[in-house]
Amino acid sequence: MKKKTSLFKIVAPALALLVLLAGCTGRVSTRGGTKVKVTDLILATTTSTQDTGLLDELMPAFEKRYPFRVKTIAVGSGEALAMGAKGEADVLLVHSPKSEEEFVAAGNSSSRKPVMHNRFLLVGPKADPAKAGDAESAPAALAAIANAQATFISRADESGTHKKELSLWEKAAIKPAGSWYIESGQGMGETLRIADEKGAYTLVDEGTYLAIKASLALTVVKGGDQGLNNPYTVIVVNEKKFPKVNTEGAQAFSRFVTGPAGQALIGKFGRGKFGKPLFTTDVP
Amino acid sequence: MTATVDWAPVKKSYESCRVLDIDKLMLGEGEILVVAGANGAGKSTLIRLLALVESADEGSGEYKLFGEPVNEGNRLALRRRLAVVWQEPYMFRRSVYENIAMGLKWRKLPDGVIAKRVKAVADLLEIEDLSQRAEKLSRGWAQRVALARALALEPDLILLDEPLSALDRQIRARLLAGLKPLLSANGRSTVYVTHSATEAAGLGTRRLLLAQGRRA
Amino acid sequence: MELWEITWLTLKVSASAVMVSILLGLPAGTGLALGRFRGRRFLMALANAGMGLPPVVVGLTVAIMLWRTGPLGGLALLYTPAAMVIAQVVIALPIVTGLTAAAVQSLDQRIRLESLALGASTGQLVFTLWREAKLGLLAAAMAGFGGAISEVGAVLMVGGNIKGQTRVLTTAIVMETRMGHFNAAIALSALLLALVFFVNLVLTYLQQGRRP
Repeated sequence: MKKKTSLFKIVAPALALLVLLAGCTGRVSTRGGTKVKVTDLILATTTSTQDTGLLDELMPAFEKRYPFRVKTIAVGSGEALAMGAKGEADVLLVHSPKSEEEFVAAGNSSSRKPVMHNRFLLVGPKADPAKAGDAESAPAALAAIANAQATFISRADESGTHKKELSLWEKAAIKPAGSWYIESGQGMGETLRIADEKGAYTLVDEGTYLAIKASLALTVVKGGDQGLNNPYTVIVVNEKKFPKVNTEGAQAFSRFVTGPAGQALIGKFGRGKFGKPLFTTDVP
Repeated sequence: MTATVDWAPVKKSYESCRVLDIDKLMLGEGEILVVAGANGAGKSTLIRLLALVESADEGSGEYKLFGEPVNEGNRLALRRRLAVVWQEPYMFRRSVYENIAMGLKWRKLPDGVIAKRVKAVADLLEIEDLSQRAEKLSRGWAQRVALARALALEPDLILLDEPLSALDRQIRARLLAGLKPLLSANGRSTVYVTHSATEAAGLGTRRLLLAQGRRA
Repeated sequence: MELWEITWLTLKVSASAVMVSILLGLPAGTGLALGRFRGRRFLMALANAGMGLPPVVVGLTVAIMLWRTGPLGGLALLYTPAAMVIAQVVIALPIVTGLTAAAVQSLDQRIRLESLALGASTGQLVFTLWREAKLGLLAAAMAGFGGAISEVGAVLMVGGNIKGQTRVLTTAIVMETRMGHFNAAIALSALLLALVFFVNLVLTYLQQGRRP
């Protein structure tokens, strides 16, 4: 009996500590004199929205207006969609059109709206040994790289960028394989870094490229092609299928990024630092 | 008058090798039992059994200590009425003072009483520097501290396993002379293990000579 | 001040994890070292193997437990500092337990006899053993802290590297490196090293006492 109490004495503060640190969930904040319950909202998104710094602009503005505390989990679009498909996220901000359509078709979403877009860029060494820059389209440029057996780094992580790359190979009717085709399995930043070190080609979203460009020797080989459009959408996870989803928060976030305040922030973002906005807004 | 130790028979084996097999062990109040014998005769084993830090074999008789049969319930209380000086005493990594005071603190005695008792036994054993680190003491000094540590407890039974072996002859004789009256004071009983005939000569109301674990 | 916030959270999370690990691992390790019960050797091997637990496996396992659909989903702990503490405890606990067991086991056998003979109760005996094993126990705490604070895979999975909420030095370093902000990443690394060094400095002073 005596032993039990002493063990409890030891374990109790440890548990108290955990609860203390967990804290905050469901915390109450004062807004204009009235108390509002703040709930957590899990946003699963692609790394490019975090790595460009866009989320750092959007989130404080959103949290100021709405009683939600956003937990941003920056992963690839593939993983973000997988989290949504299990009901582990409330709202998604992703760029992988084909997978998104499958996601909606499976009944995982109650709303999907376009938010913004930019372009994918084919980047590579300045010398452009495969003469990919001379090709008339993006698939043709990839074909030139494959023909020259020039090193190409693929994300190979089912992210939006990886999906895009695969669709371009498909259009070029090439199954990329061989020692020249390297699968990094990592995020955009790491993959760019590898391409830079190896003097290789890779496909990158414009936002991440501009944000990291300063520390890279890679240049844009192919951009401005119609086939390289990169659209981002906001997807609310279906609360009917996953009852634990924070629908109110998800819908509020969806309204915010597609509404005037969010769109204005996106439209401006990057103008100061990069001379031009990193994303083009989709809501007129 | 109840006997301090009343145990018959006492048996102990380690891994089916019998190291102790004594038909009968008796020690009355105020008596000193001198245990003699060669190395490996089972003297130290006997001390561990008597001190209640090890249990005897199944076939042993009931150990009656201070008239009480030892069981799980009174083991700690009985152990707190005895004290031991081991052949190789361990010095805790703290000051000499703290080493002597440890057992008293565990008995939750008031600080004033502890200080007084530590001072008294330190004087008796000619320990002057109480603030030095005990773990660095030589073997001889460690034995003095161990003796002080045991006497400070004012035990009803004191078990001494070659307590003066590491001291040189002169100091040994002087300390032994000072020690002797304390070993049987106030009805206290003592078990004194030694292989030195001179040490044994002046002591002892009873004698037990051990050879290969048996009474010789 | 974001940097201060990240550093403070890093320290808070890892210190909590180590404290929880010590509160659980110290008794557990001592029990393993002194106990005589069936399965003791197996548990010992488990603790020793646990010292080399791959952090990503820990992260994934803890994340699965904490998912909304997982067994502990109702607690809503995923992507909170508490989740990071849990993951770090899973990493640090075997280290603290295993090293505690080793430290207590390698103590002089005489300490037990001497303490019992001086009239120690079971509790007093255990505290004496801990005091005598102080060097080894502080080493266990240091190793546990080092394992916890330097970990990145697991805390990224269960914490999510959320700005202002769960971003700690290691996850911030990974992110800054990815974004090509090498100067920031190097500065954060230096800060992390300084933090680890400072904490170990304090513990080492505790361990070595007045010894010059």
